[in-house]
Order: sequence, then structure tokens, then C-alpha cells
Amino acid sequence: MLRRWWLIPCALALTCGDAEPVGVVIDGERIPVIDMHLHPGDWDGVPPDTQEFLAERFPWPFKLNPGRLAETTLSADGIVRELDAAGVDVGVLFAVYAPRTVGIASNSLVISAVAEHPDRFLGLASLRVDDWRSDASKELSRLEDALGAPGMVGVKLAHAHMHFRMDDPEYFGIYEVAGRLGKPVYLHTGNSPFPGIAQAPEYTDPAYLEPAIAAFPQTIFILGHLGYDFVRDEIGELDTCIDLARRYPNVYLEPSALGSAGNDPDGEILLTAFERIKEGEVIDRVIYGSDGPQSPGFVSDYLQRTVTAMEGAEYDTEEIRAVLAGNFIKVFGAEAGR
Amino acid sequence: MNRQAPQRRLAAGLAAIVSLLAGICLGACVNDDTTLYEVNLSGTIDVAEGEPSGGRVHVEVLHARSGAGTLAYPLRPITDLELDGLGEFAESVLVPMENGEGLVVYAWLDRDGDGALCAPGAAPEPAGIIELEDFPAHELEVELVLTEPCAGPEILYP
Repeated sequence: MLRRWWLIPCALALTCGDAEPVGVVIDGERIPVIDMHLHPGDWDGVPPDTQEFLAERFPWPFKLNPGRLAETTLSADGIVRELDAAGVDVGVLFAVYAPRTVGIASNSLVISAVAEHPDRFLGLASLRVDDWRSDASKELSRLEDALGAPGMVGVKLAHAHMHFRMDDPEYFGIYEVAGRLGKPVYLHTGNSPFPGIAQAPEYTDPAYLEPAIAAFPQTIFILGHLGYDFVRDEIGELDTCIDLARRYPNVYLEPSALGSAGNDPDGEILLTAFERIKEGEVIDRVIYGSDGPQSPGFVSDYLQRTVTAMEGAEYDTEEIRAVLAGNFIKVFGAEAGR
Repeated sequence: MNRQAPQRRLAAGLAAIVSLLAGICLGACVNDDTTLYEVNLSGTIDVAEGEPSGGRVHVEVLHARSGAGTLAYPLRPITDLELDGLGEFAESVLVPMENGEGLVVYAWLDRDGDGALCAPGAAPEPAGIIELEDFPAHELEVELVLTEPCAGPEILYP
């Protein structure tokens, strides 16, 4: 079934003097969009190796001054502009503490951005795990404090970036805090092409998360990137993610980044992912995210690619609505979804 | 209004383009020097007495610390090695001195031969870590006993 759909940019809405129509329109029905995966930051918080890595990938002429592009795109106002252009209602900003790889976007940076645009942003807090044997209780306490700030609705972890095993019980206190506070945990799954990543399976393969998922049934685990293999550009551990979602009610899935124009130029990878999710009967567990803003236009492009993939996989309107916003609201609460 | 003859404007334009290209090339083409420091590691990697000792040994050589300020972190990987088994060994590694400080050796025993430390459902495999306090030195001795089941380097150091 091929239906007509449009992304309605806020710019158009403003031109028409009407602030309401954002989101995706399918069969004449407006579907709101929440993008649960966005990275604010500043260029100085990125390690030198990764600055070089990113600069090589920026399109010319942006690569001549990558810091300026990054500062513009990754600022709170820059991300709002990307959301507006994409027609996304609400974006979720991630704090990141990964000094080995992508660097640091602190909890305070995210809290400030959410406070600046409380109607557009929510935030996920994170923590440092570099010196866990001596700092664990201090870091967990800081995490709790950050989660108490307005609009901070969950926890962001990336074992491959942060270098800690997915199954190491020494770190399970993070899941205990999240479950006790009712804050879902987003986890990067799959490998990554960035310098400094821990690529071994115990840091990337979601199968290693099962002991934590089983031990903390009150904690929601959102498996980011569907276990995608970003190094070989292959589907990776998608089946493991789907299997975990089928067996554990506290597991959700998030399909960001794997379907980008760079990874998936013809859209086949994202289509395959959404087909397998449908076959696995776990559409009610999928929460949309893009992994933007990356570069100007990425947030909008990824949303279009995702809707195209869902249509290709014959998702009906209600299923698309669930992926783009409904499942997020179910997990994070109506207040978070606004 | 400042006017120039067409030839002079053309020459000035070309000069500006050449300068711009030269500037871009200088910015993009200058490489940082890397000093590689050769270290000969020798010694013994073993498990506690009575523990099963079969299997290959996976070794990681790492800087103890890297980065600066808020971007500082422990354990920056330098290289991986694989040994046929426990016991005495001798290996040479090249340490990029600009990338970090200190030297750490981490190892684990691949008892089941699957290439993964404690894969889901598999029996525990032992790991261990040691910081080589005498680094920098070209000859360093390693005496490491693997006692920690399923432990990644991050939970053993610092």
C-alpha cells in the first residue's frame, strides 16, 4: 500500500500563520513526532582524534571550519531549527560522558538546553564510569541529582563508547537507580566507527545485556540502533534485539542512525529492519530516534527515510503513530510526551 | 571608490586563490610527529595454582592514562597480542609516546576458545591487569596472575 504523506515544516506553518501543523501527515491525518535521540554539544568537548574523524566527513566547504558548523548545529537553538525544519514536535537531548570517543556533553549542558526550550526538549542524563571502583557512589548520586531536574526523563548509556561490559554486575547500580526513579535507560547497541570504541562483543552485542534486563524488570531498557554493525554496514544484532523485546516486557527498540543516507543510500537496510520488527510482532516496542542533528537537514531526512521504510513494510497509520510518538509516551509518560 | 585595471584585478584574484589554497593545504597537510618507543615485554602470565590452564591468552597493552582536563581517561589501548598459552612469553611493542602516559598490561584466558571473554552462557574465564611502574624503559618484566573472572580492564584499573 502506498500512501501520500508529507512532512509539514514549521517554517511553512509560520508562513501560513499557524503554529499547529507539525509532524507527519498520512492519509490526511496528522501524526505527531518525538525524536528521542539528539546530541547537543560543543566542539571543545570532542577529543582531537574524533574532531579529525568528524571533520573528514563534513561536506565541503563545512569541513574547512568544522568547529563553526558543529557549534551552530549542536547548540540548543540550532537543534530547535532542525526540529522545526523536520516537523518534529519534541526532541530528546542526550548527555554523554565518553572522553575516549565522542567526548562530553554534560548533564548541565542538557539541563540548560531543556530549560531554555521546555516545550521542545526533554533530556536523558548520563554519568562517568572511568574510575568506577572509587567513584561509583558519587557518580550514581550525581546521576540521581541530574534526573531530578525538570524535563530529565531517562538515562543514556553507551557501553562501547564508555568502555564497560554490558553484563558486568559492578555497574548494575545504574539500572537500580533508573528503575527506582522510573527513568528508562537508553543503551547504544552495536559497534561504531568512531576512534576509541570498544568493539568486542561484550561492549556491543545486546545479548550481553540479558542478565541486567532479567535482574531489573522494573527498569525499561531501550536498545539503541537495533544492534547495527556500523563498521561493516550490516544489520548486525537486530534479531537479538527483537528476541529480547519478545521475551522481556521491559525491552524497547530504537532504530536511529542505521538508515542514514551514508549507511543506507537506497533505504534497504531500514526497510529490512522494519520488516523484521513487524514479523517479530514488536512494533509496539519501537521508539523513533534519528541520532541527529549531525549536519543540517539530517533530522528531517532521517524522519522521511523512516516513514518511507515503515510504509514500505506496510505499517498502518496506527502503527506509524505508535513508532513516531505513541510508544515513547507509553514508556516515558504522557507528561513527557506533552 | 577604489578601482583597479582588469589585469591587476585578475592578478590580485589569482594571488588570493593561491594564498587560500596554500593556507588550506598547510592546515590540512601538516602531520603531527609520533614518537614510537620500543618496549620488550617478557615474563609470565599464569592462573592461580589448581585452576584450569588450557587455552590461548589475549593480551592488551594500554596507556595508563590519556587525554587532558575533562577529557582525561584511563586505559588507552595501544595494541593487542595473542599468546599460544599461559607461561613465559616475550613480545615487543611500539608505544606512541604522545598518546598517553604509563603502561598497563591486561590479559585474559580463552578457556573455551570462542574468542570472547565470558560469552553469554559460557563458563567464567579469568582476567588480570598489571601496571608496569618502570615504564618508560625498553626492557620491562611482566608477572601477571589471572584471578578475576569475566572482568574487563575497566573494572580492574585504576
